[in-house]
Amino acid sequence: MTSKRIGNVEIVEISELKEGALLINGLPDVGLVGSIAASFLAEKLNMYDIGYIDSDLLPPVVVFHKEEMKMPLRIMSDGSRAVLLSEVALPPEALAPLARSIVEWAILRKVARIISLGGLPTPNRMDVEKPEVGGLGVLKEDREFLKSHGVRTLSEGFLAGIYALIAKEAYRRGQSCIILLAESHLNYPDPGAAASVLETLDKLFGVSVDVKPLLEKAEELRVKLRELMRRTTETLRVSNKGYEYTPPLMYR
Amino acid sequence: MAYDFLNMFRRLREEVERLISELEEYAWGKPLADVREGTLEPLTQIHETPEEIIISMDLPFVRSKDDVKLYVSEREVMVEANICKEVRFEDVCSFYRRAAFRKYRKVLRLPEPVRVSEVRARFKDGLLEVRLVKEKKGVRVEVE
Repeated sequence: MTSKRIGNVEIVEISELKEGALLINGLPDVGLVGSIAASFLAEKLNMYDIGYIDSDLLPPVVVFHKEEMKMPLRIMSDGSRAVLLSEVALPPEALAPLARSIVEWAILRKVARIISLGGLPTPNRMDVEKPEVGGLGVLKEDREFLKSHGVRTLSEGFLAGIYALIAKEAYRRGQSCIILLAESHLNYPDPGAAASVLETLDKLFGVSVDVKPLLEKAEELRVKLRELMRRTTETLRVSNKGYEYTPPLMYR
Repeated sequence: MAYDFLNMFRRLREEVERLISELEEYAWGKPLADVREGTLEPLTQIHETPEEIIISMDLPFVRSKDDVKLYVSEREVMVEANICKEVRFEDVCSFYRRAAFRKYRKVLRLPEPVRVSEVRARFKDGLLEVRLVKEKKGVRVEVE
């Protein structure tokens, strides 16, 4: 077991991630899209814990699954791909230190690409049958990669929250990073959007999972994730998520 | 006169109890469920335009609009909806280990009065949307 402290954040590795792996972030954000997608992926690909992230800035909680205690923010892997998921809403004061640590660790472990999975708040989501997915590429080669695989790139706007901070740090450090966003509800858990984002992940990186079980469990997920969604909504409000409704400067 | 005084005192006491309850909820974080009543509080979004208040609620496991009861008054909306099956959380959360839920219930105080005769509501795939027209008081003034 190795431990690395980056400021207020500690990353503990139970086993080392292979060089050249993909790091898939599924952190609580719009519609819990990333959280739902990442936890489904981890289960279907039989991923195991390879480490966790801890900090005094996180809520003072632990989580229990099948009688086993787990850290709420942990890294799971199947050898060639890693998933970072959080079972707690991330407090605004923890976002920047966490983002820096995640990118620092990705560079240390020579991660090929960071992929953040999330939702794009869509006011008329009720009338959207199949959510579309758009992508953001931090580096030029990321944008070209998205376009060459037929994924629509979002051309104008703001991104706010933990994924924005990860993107910022990746940009500063020259780390390849893509954000995939599916049209989703802002404040309701959205398994339909999570399924769309997983299908795009498969299209780009061959991470293949059958999303039918996810869609079949959609209502159950919507009921059981209500409390996490509510807590996430509170933190989204405080972390300037409203910027995503703001058109950016036109002349620059 | 004595009756008026007692009535006023009763209303004052109810208002103080309501404020204390809200403060406790704020301090401790009220769960989105009433275990004693067997009801869940649905996730709700409220959006305002100059003309309307638009409320949406996420009601998974509610099968049809016939399972939804919607009551609207000038300053309040109340929604009750029947869940098609008993919902339990004991497999994911021991806080709810003896609880079973068969209904959603939510009462919302509106930020402005609305016209009760002009309410529209629709229900689709477990989502309820209620559109309320604001009661406008005032006159239009021509800008010179």
